[in-house]
Amino acid sequence: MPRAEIVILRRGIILAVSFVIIVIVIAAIVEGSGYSMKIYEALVREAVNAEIMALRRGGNISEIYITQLRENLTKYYQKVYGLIDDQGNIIPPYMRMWNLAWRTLKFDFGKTGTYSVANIVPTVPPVDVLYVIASVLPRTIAVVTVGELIAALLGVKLGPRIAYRHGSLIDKFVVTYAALMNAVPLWWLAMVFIYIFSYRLNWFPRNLRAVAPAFANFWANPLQNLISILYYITLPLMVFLIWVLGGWLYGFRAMLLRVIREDFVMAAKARGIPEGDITKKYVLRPSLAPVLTSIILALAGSIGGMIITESIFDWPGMGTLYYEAITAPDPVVIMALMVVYVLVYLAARFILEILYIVIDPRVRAR
Amino acid sequence: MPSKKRGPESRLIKFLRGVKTAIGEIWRETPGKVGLFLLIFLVALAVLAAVSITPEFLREWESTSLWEDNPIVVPPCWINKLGFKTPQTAQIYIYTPSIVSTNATRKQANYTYTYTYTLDTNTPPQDIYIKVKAPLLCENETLRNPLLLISIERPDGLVVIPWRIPLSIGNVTTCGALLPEQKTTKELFDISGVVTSLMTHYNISLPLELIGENKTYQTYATAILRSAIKSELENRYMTILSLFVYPEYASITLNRDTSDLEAIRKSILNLNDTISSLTNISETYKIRIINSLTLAYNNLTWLIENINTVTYTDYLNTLYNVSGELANAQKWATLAKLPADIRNTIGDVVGKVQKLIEAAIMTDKVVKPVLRFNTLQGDYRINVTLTYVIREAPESISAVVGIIVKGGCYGLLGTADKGIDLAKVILYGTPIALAIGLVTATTSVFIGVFAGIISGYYGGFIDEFIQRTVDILGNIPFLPVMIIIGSIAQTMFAGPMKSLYIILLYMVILIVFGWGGLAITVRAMTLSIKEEPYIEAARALGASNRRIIFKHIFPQVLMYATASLVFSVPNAILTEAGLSVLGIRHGWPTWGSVLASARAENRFDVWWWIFPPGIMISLTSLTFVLLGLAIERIVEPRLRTL
Amino acid sequence: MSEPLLQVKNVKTYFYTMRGVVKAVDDVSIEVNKGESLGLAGESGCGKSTLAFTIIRLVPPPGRIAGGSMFFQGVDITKMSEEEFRKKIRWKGISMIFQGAMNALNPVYTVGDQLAEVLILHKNYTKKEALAEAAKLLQMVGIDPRRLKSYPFELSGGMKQRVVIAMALALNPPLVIADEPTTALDVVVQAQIMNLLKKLKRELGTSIILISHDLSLIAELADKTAIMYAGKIVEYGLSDNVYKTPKHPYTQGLLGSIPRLRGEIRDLTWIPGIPPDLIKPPPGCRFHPRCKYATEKCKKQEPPIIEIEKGHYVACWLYA
Repeated sequence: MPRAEIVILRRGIILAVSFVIIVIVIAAIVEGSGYSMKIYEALVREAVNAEIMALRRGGNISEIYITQLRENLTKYYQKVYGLIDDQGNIIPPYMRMWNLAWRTLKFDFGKTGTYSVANIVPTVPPVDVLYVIASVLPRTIAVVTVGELIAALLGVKLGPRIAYRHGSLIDKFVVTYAALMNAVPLWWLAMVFIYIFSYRLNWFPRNLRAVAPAFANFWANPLQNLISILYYITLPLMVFLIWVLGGWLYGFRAMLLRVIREDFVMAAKARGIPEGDITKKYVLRPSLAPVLTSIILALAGSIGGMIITESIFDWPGMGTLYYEAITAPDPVVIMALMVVYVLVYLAARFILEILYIVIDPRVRAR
Repeated sequence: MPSKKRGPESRLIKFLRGVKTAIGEIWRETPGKVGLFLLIFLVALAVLAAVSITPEFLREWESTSLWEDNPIVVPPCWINKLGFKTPQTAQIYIYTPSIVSTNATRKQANYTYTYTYTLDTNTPPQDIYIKVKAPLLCENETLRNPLLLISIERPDGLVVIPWRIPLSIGNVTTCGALLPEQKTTKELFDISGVVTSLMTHYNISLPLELIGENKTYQTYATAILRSAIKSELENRYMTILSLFVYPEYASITLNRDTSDLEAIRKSILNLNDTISSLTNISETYKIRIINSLTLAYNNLTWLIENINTVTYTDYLNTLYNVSGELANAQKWATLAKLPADIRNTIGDVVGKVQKLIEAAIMTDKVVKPVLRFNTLQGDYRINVTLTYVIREAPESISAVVGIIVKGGCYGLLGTADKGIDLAKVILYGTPIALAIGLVTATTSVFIGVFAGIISGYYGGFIDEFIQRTVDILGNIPFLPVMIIIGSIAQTMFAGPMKSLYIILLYMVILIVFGWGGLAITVRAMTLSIKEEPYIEAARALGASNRRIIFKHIFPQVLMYATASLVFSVPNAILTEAGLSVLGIRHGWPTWGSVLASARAENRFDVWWWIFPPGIMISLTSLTFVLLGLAIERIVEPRLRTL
Repeated sequence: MSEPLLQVKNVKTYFYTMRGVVKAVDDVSIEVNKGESLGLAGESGCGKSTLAFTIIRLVPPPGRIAGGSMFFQGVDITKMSEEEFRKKIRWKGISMIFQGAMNALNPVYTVGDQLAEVLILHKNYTKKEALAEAAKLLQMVGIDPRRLKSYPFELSGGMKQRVVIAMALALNPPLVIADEPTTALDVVVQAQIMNLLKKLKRELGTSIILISHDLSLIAELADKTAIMYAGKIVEYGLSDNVYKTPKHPYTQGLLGSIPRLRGEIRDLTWIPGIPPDLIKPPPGCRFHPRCKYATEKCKKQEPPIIEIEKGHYVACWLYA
């Protein structure tokens, strides 16, 4: 059996290479189709026009000067957005593709010119895409990732207890609850909760976009901002948690039931091993692999936010960002988001590979 | 051993018996029982809806004209039984007049239609109007069009006549033909008449001790009060609802604020000082001017000091005096050829006084009305009279009188914006949802099974191809793609079938993304079945590939595919609803569309708008999840051997 | 001879399912003395394994011990609390060799860890001591002690079964229940395992209850044999007696269906019919639908167990 470290290193290299290839492929598609060129050209035009308009307002300028200035400014902005190089030659698509790929790998995603996207931060374009994503990401993490984490932990804690009481009232209740949460769409549950808690009981605010400054200026006044954030995220977090918990409880219960039925669990009981040890060593430990897989993949996927539900709450998170980028359309942001998701997903897979090797001896043999 | 009959008949019977056993098995388990109940309920609703739906409804369900007579955003009427009282909604159509009175000598025929509306809450209804389709009568070749008169006997005994509308002939030329429908409107409402009636009936008059004896001034004050009543009725009660209110209190008080007066007095004082200190004018003039100013000043002082006890008459009189005196001063100042700026100042002050007088006469600045209206509960007898100038009037006419009172509740599930009857829309959404779900699920399962069997059985290139395709499809994020396609679809299609095309496009994309999972599982099943000895035996016996697939592989896969089908029905329904709620509308009356319009109006505070569609969506999903669970439990032992 | 090691008296184990009550073990009584081995034979589904699980009180839900009592070393183990039974009886007093050892071992721990576990738990060994003892146990069952570091997936079927046997013997219990210990193993390994069991019986004096559907295996090892049918014991006695002079028609049928290498050539017989439904067993004698000697009495009344000769019991109206 090869040493674990070598296996990990091998997998790591493969994943890193995959990532680079994916980035290059996406860059090729984006540049090859001319999408980003159109966007950047539009950005250049807007920037130049803005400057010229500002000048015109200042006073009377001769038209000849304006024309010359327009030319210079255009060249300047074309350089800024990477359309031409320092000598003034137009950078051909394949060069732009490499530039784009290289910049992406450095996480320099460029700028966006879309108002609806910038509004989520909130700010005005043009703005760095990396800045937009970095500002918006914590809001989604606060709700979706935290929610998944809490649900996963509850699932792991409660799952064995429910699986042991197979057929009992609490077991039936959990299955019913899971079936219900499967059938009820999360975004409608959100509507119901908004009705009850925001309108009827008036416990929570309706305008959730107002949470943005609390996140942006968090370190200026951590305690106060934390309280403010809690005030805003409680409703969406509560709804999400209640909904997602159904799936987790059912999933863990199913996984554990499968393991509990295994012969070696009964054999362990026959050997007089106490219940606590059986849970730890014979039930949880063998099912650790699928359990951790679910948890880590769920956490990785949570970065994407929930498009429809965030829209209902008007929550300025990654889901809303995705939606605005798609409907604008803003290909620069879409590409950046895809790169981020792929990266997170690959990182999650990598972590899982490492964990598998540690947990499951059967994997090491491969 | 019973002999076996061969032929298609026995296969059908076997199949039916199999289905019956399957249903029996499903019924045995609790999830199956609940699932079947719900399924029967949904199918019943769908059938009910399918027989009564029309294509026009699908297209026009969001247009106002369909729901004109319904109140807007009101809860269902059964909440009255739970103790939440709302004004009744009435949509009455009367075809026979209750009173017919004809007078040949006076050449008049009256047809009166009556309806009594009871208001038993302390909020008035949303709206009330009367729609009349009256016939054109004729007499010796002359066409007689009627006069429409609405009179309402209120519970307080007051009879008001809010509408008096001569019905126009329009393009109608035939005797006895119906004239175009006339609807009573806010514009045609005789609000002045109603105000007068109310003021008379409730003896709304002025407190003379506040107003004073001057008759002219009393008229002014009355006019101010009247206009205040009128504007309150027009603004707070949207004119028409003034029918349902009575003045609990209507009177006036006087504004005892003196700041304006004091400002003017100060100006006069300044003028006085300025002019007094002038040296190069004639003394006579100067004295005259100072006199006038002093008189004006004193008048104002008196008014200011006695402001709390003066009457309106006193106020106006004083101001007129002040104005007169200031005019004098101005005259003398002109004669005295005083510098322009001083003369201008005097002119300013005169102007200010004039403005005060105007304000006192025309506005509620001085005479402030104090009003309080309340809803008048009780029986309202609505009389709709059609009057014809005709000698020989028929006994009855073919008129249709519609009396619409938009109350505070409607129907089984209330109404949404535009008065849309939610019960109807949600009912009609049922067959649409079921159709979308079942067609999508069936098609993708069909493709998935087919692809899986082909892939697993034949292997080779086609296997690789199918597997790679499913792989790639699996890596594409579903919802973002749907959103993009949905947005494009809205602009891509046009015409009357636009909604249908959009929905079909959704279904196609769902199918494209949906067949893959099942295909992979079926492929695995096929691979393992393929290795079974009985397959080898069948091949040795010369069975063709087709026969092996259909007789051996397909039946085993079928049960699993059925469970998969049932589980995937909700997905299509949820996706369509989710897209609608995001704002990507297709235009058909689905449950998702109802929620989408609630969201568009940002009405998350209307429980009857939000809860029923969501409950239907959830119930439908639950039905199929439960049925799927029950089927799975039957299938599971067989799954284990695979 | 003092009291028997194990006494099972009128034990009933029923499964309460949605389709009805499955009477898997219906009023069964057996006895095992110290150093003695008992063979329990019968068709699949007659209740043998359930009886085994009943004895170590591991009947899976929805099953339950519905009646009767069991005494081990004179102590009533049916009335004990779960905790007491776990500490005192399980594995220390009675251990079990499971059917299908492939799944009896935890896949994520080494063989050594699993062997050591019982020793650490029940005998308070340190890890080092336990592993040393585990090595000895492996040797005893004929496995290289270096295999302590192996994971179960690295061992063959036969080796895994031997590990399971080693585990069952780790605490040297007075009673070992072997439930179909050689099913799914090839004949060579089967012989090895049987030899091992015989060695244990000889050298350690362990009492063994051997459960099998294979009568020839039981004949090799068991001192006494009990034949089970449809949840009931139909014949019970010294193996010699039961094999040479089977009294119950079922036993005769079973033995008649074993082909013999020696002796006269005769036709193989078999028992017609299928095993009965344990929810609604046939009235009277449960074997009557398949019995060629069945009478009216057999169809109505259950035959009592009678001692037909010393130590040889039969439940059949032919002898009552």
